[in-house]
Amino acid sequence: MKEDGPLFDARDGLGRYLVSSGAQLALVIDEAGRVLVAAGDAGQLDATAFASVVAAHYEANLQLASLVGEPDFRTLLHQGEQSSIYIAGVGGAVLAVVYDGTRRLAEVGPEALLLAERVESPIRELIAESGGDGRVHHLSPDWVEAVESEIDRLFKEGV
Amino acid sequence: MSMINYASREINCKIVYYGTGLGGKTTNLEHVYAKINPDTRGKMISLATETDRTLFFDFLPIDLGEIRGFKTRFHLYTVPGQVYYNASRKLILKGVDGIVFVADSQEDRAEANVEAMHNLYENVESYGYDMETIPFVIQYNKRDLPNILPVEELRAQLNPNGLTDLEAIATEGKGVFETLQAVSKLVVKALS
Repeated sequence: MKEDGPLFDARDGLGRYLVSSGAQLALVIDEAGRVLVAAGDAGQLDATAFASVVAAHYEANLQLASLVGEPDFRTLLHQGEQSSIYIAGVGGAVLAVVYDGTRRLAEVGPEALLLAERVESPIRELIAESGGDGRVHHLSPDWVEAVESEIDRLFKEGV
Repeated sequence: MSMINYASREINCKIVYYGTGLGGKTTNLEHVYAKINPDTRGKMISLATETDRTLFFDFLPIDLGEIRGFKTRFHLYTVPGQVYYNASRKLILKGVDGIVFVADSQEDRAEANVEAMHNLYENVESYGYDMETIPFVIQYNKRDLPNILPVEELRAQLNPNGLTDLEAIATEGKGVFETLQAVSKLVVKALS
């Protein structure tokens, strides 16, 4: 793994925040619901499923905002008894932070907002690098052949 | 479009099952979930009503493992079939890499199929994506029912451009993996 570049910067920013805030997990998720950057311990949480629902939830909230004439609702807070979730739009992606029940979102909101500002630039770079800016990236014919072969094996197995 | 994360060496492709209400989109995913090697599948999420109609989406991740240095995954989604959930349908198409249109072969669903196909084009194009270049296959489902249209007629209505199409009986699993195999390969080819 490269020790510089936007992924490292974003992960470093999230990691430092986890240490200072005591949050359990922080994810940066793209608009299609895919995890771009992760830091912390997911524990029993299925991070892939979590990311898909967070992205759809965030997009649905943008639609809600538009229906009431707001440009967006950039921050979504969910306070539970055992855990809480902070969600915010950042750099064309979605930041989701999971806290255990000992932190109240009213306390952590301002800190999380600072985190979103800190990681915005590397996230924008990461999205551009990953093809999220519309640039076309091509993979080698070797890779395509190997994936096709795995698709045949896996999906035949299921039939 | 496909997220190729070079830094973390991951490729995640989003495949969306689209089509009319009660056409069998969720049944396709349920069959994949039930039959695929459990080590490769993640948790299936279904945001459905109390009567099991899809309200927002179903989601099933499939992990192909590490291939030539890239962790490769397919994320399968369905959209709600009912037209009044169009806002949700459209949201799920964001970032789509491949589409399966699940058509209901029954004669009395012909108009609904055509309407859903038009709606698909409208929603995809509203994001500036080009339906001519997105990997796209059509599945003619419910081939076991008595009142179905011949495939030639369905083809004339829904597939004038001769895209890859397949027959299926999703409730019995017939054609389900073949459809997934076809669209996955098109998605992968689009990355080369």
